[in-house]
Amino acid sequence: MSGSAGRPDVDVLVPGSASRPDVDVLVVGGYLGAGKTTFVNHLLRQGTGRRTMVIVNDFGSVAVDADLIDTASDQMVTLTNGCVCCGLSSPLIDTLIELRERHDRPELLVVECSGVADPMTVAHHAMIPGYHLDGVVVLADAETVKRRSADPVVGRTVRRQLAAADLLLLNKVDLLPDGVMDGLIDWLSSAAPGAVVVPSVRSEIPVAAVLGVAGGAGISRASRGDDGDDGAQHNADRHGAQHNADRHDGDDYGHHHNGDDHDSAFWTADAPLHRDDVVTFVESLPAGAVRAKGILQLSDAPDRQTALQVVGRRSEFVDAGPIPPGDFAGRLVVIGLPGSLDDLRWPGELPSS
Amino acid sequence: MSETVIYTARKIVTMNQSNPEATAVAVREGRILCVGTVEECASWGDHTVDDRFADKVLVPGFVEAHGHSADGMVAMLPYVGFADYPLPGGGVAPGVESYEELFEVLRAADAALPEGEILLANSFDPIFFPDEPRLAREHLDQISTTRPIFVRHASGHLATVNSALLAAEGITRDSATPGVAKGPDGEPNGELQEAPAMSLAATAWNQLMQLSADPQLLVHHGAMCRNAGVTTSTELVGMLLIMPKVREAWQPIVDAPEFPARMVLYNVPAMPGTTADYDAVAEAALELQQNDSDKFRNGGIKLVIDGSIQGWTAVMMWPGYYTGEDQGLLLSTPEELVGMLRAFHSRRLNVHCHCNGNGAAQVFIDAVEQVLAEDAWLDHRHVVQHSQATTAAQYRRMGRLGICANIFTNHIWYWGDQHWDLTMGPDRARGMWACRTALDAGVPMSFHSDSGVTPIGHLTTMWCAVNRLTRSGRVAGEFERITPFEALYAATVGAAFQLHLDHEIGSIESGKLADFAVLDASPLDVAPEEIRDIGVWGTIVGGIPFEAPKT
Repeated sequence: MSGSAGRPDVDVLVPGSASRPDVDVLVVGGYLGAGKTTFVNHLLRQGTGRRTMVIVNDFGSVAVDADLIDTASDQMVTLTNGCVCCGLSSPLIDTLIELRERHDRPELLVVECSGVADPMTVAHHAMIPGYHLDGVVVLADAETVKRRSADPVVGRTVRRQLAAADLLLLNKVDLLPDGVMDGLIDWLSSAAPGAVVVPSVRSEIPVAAVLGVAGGAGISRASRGDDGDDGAQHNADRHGAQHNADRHDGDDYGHHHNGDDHDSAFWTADAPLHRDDVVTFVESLPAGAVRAKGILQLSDAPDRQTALQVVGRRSEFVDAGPIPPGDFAGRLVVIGLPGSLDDLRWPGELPSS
Repeated sequence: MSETVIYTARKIVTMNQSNPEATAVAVREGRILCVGTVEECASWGDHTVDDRFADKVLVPGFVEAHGHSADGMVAMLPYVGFADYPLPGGGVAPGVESYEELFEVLRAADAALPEGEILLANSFDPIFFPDEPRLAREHLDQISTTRPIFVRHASGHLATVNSALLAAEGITRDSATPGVAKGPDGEPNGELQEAPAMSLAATAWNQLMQLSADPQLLVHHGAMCRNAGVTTSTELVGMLLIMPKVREAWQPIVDAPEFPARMVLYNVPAMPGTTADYDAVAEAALELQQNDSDKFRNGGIKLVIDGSIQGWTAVMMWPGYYTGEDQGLLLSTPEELVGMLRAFHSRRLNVHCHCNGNGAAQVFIDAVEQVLAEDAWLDHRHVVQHSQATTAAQYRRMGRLGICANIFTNHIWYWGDQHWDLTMGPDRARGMWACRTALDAGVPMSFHSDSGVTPIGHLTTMWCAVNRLTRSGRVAGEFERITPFEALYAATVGAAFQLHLDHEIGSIESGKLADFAVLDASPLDVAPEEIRDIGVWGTIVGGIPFEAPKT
């Protein structure tokens, strides 16, 4: 996130230690009425498959079915799917400082911004030790976003929100007149140059696409210093039968269409990769590719595992410890909108540097 | 039969137009019984005469309608602000006007601290050092290479630290947290920008967090009120709606007989950056008021919708800032602002809204107009707080809508030259803090110190409004000057009005609380340029004298 939006930039982050993995943080922003709360409520209902805490902008707006609620108190609700939802009762930075010390800290923290917050500012909070910025999702009301961005009073706020996005949910597209959408998406490519733009209705988007969790991934969180049992099968269990985790071991590449939900594609490398080739691969991802993850062996660090994470147009390489004994093959997974991955090309299929 | 005390004085300036001057005031049960001659006061019956103020001037106790108890920090941390800052125990913390003076303060603080403790200093303001290199770790390394040093800037958004602190906290060239400023060599240069980066200095950060919640701040604030003649002050970032437990610490301090001021809290409804169910918050605010006392009140609601002009974060309408990059961001959407205002307005809770820029003022005025059209609370006294750049057209609307202005006149002296040269340019700087325009438009007006940002004290706010002099000797807007009488009215009745307390405080008038400032001279009698130099003996609050330390 330190680079300018619009170009893939490659940060080297220091991952958490094996005993204290960093908390992934997903920032959810967007102007008042764009659908943030609906989005967060989706996330809460569907669950994420990870121990998750959601800090909501307005605790009173949390709307989950009563039978999903395990316990509830003044400023906190625990759902039966393990999600904890809470309001903010101290400044965010102090909340994060306190949270990272706790033994029951979440694996994933979702922070819903207020309608005027600059999501980038909030994202910076997720870049203190103990946390890892997983991505910035910004929602935009398709009907009003362009007009609002030119407003003399709130225009700057809206423009900053758009510019902060890794994933931009262009929401309420069902309310757009015919023939407007393409122009709007074109306009967003300059207003939100760092983002993959995903049209949506009622803030609906597959959780997997947002969080980058795909059954076929085979990307172990061991790469982030976890205990290593959080592999493909585990993810598949959590994310439903449509995922094709059971097939990946034998394949070295594949595309999976997961119904209307999302597509995922995976690939196994047979030799160490050149870092530049991976960058080229990232830059060449199709427009609908929302996320990519990888655990790789790079030719410039052949005795280390290197984790790759791509969200929107932003990517990062993270050192993920020594290459384990035995066979090691790099793996990549890409998650995209339905039909968006048909033209996907893997590092080996692209011109090499 | 309770006791009646008659205080005599060389002059009593009452700010009650039917009885503007007197020489005696009778006090019974903490209230003003009679104002006039000793004979008139004595005619109420048994009494004692207290002549200790026979050579002093009594004016209504000053009312600070936009204060903060955070000013007490000046007594708890080494102070490195640019301007002298009065201390609660008397005397001043001298301002640092050069890097050499900064280093002197830090060296003295270093020498006074036990080994192993971190050196924290507060209120450094780089806007006053345009010709110096940016303060960096190399500068602070001259003070100590072993003791961590953390210098917080006046804005609260930045800190500069030394190499020992960087090393102790593990802040290196590899630190990925945004805001860790780095030099051309890629090493941290010592500047930590915004909360995430500052929080990396964990020891300093934790100490600052603890200090900012220390009730001792309030004790110091009370002393500084007394020293400045202020008998009613405010905490305009009241936390009681977010952290109700604060009341348990605060109210006993204020209610104690030795605390020399009344405190009115305007509470913020939600953590900055979040929203809330404002109807529920408004109900909670009404509930809070049930346990208020004479000295401790929960007056209403504080909203903040933009930043500061000298930080380039205030929301300005076209043509924006004179120099520098416009960082103005509205902190509430106009739509949400109407929603929250409605929740409080409909329950007759007054709202004070921080609007430094004219863009912010516009949004607030629009919101008040809308809720007024829905619900005619004719005696609302919603306030544009700071009101530094509010335009003449906006004041005319405010006059018609009954919106008050609490104008941050101290900026004229403290940052007037910077507004002239950097933020607004000469012509608009002449029209900032437009007191004359506000009064002519019928806008109920007060001034404030924003204590902690500038020292509490209305002799200075009045002096600024009357003279409009900057540090360099400019008159920043001679046509916006007002008279000493208008200024004294703004500092007393005007402020009380905005707090909905003008029936209890603000003038020396039978039936009101016996709150007086005890001065060496009347601000209406001295030369206008000498108003801020008038000596303050102390105050009388509820009939009890509180003497300021001799300086």
